[in-house]
Amino acid sequence: MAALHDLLMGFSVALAPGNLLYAFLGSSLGTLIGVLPGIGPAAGTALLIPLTARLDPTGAIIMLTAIFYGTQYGGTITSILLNVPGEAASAITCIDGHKMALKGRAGAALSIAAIGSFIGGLFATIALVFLAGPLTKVALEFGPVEFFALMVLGISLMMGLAGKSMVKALMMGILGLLLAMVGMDPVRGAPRFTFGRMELMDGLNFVPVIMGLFGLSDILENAEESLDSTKSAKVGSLIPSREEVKDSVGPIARGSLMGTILGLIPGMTGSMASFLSYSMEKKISKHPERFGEGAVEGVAGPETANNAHANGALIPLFTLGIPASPTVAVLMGAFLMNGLIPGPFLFKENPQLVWGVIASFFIGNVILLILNLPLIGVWVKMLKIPYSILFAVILAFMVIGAYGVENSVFDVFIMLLFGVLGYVFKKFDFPMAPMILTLILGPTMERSLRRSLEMSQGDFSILFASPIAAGLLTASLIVLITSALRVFPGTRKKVPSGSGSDRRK
Amino acid sequence: MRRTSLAAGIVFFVFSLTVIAASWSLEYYSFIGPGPGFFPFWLSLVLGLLSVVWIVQILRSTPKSWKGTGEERLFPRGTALFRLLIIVGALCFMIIFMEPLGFQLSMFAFMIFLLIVLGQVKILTTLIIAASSSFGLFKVFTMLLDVQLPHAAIPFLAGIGL
Repeated sequence: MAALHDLLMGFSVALAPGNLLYAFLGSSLGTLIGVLPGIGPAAGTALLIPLTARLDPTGAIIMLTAIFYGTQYGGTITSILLNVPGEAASAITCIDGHKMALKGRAGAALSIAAIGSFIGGLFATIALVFLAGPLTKVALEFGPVEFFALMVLGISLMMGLAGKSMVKALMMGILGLLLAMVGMDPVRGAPRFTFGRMELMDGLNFVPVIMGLFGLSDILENAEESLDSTKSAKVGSLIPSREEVKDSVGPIARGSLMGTILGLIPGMTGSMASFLSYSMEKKISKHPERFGEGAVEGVAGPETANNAHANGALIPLFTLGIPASPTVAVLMGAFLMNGLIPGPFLFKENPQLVWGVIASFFIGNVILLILNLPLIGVWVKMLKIPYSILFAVILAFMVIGAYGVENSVFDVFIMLLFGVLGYVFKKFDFPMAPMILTLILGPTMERSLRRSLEMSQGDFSILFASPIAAGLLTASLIVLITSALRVFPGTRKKVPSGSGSDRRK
Repeated sequence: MRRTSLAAGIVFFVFSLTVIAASWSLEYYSFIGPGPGFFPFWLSLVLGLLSVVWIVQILRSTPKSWKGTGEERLFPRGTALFRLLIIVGALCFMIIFMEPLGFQLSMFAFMIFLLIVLGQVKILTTLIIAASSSFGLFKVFTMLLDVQLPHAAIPFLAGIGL
């Protein structure tokens, strides 16, 4: 009951006119990012952080989280109408969603996807409301040793699940940690790897790094192909048939549960949730041969799962301070930029903000349902903007976004540098998610470990003295070993990777 | 592809050696525990070892398994490379000229260049988009969103409001 009381208090914050406006702006911008090819949710959210710089922390976080889950809705539109996923989590929807569009059922596919996303988002938010109390209670017992062990587990899961090669995932994770070491040492205050540049004293700013790795690298990759735009299918009637509704009930229910559970696991991305949901629906269907030919279950399940995942992934961030995906890591960075440390103490020290943001998820999902059903025509018009114009406009926003964080041209240079690096990493099939996660978690992780070691005067056995920490570290080891065993037997076949990343996502 | 991957493995290895060397100049350990150089040292050491593992994996892989992943698939050539370099070049221009010329003028030139050379967009459309992305966005960000974008450092340009 305490959770419901807190949630009601949250609604009083979220329903304030200013915060309603930020939820609306965030949902609209998120849908726009999802709709536009060439910019994914991580880069899109990072790009819009400067817009929130002058807002109060509650408004800023409400807007940024709305951008984050709004992208999941928007990505569906291009998958169904253009057969081009607006973001990776909607890629699987292309299979049946676009087939439905070709049969003149695009409107029904969009409606089912929007309703599924809405239910999935609400389900995961309700899970957050009821899990917040118990999880924060446990986390409040954690000291620096346990937090360090928890972060190691989060990173291990991310590395274990990212990409095809465990070695590459580990290399990227360590590279992220090394990049996190740039700047003042968090304990002693000594400068590290700053090359005498004042701009690096506070460390590498994650906003231009993420915009480079996830946004600019995509634009560079897309620039290899011609910049023609694709023709959109007609939307038609938005009302699904009775049979389509009946066939969608089960997949939406299963997708909500699966997406929420997968959202809790660091490293499980939205695309994995939608892919697993699609596979499950196909497996349990009485007519699996319909999949790939325009089966509504192939839209309802994955679209519900990816949205439930997006909202579910906020549970570990809010309760434990652990980001489960690169975009959630960007959100964590936004919390830190606003002077807020996500995790159990936030519930204790700033309940109005946390519960206000949680309540805004309910409101945001309602706004998104409205934006994606009656206003679908607006987004379809956006799809008519040719990519030959769009890429230049996105670049202009990226320059502003990178500059605007610290009012520094140096950050634009950092964005370019990491854009080129990201492009090269994609060519070699290096997963970038572990790098982003460790870049953002790195300073907290180092601080926790060094504080633990100061407590024990340098004795590493302190890490195993606490049963919780010992359990978490053992679990990390098991994750890494099992992932390595999964990869190494097939090494001879698996090394070649080529430029396997998705084109114009 | 195989040769390029090997080269990339070597780059990672050399990078890790450089960080190991740089870590030595930082305090490794003190009476209260690890110093600023402790983690960079161990992390770069592990990165170096992983680079070696990757290089060994590449060397042990059979040439057959690389079939179909030719060098041409890894990095573009010809027109595709040209398009890529245009974007990188245009961003370099922004980095160099954003402060001396100010945001508005440099962004206007940046957009015109990209839209005409790369996008092959009609002149009138180009001018409208370039003006809204430079002068328009400048006004929106500085006046409505309170995000400061640079004015020209050259007095004459600053004098005419750029």
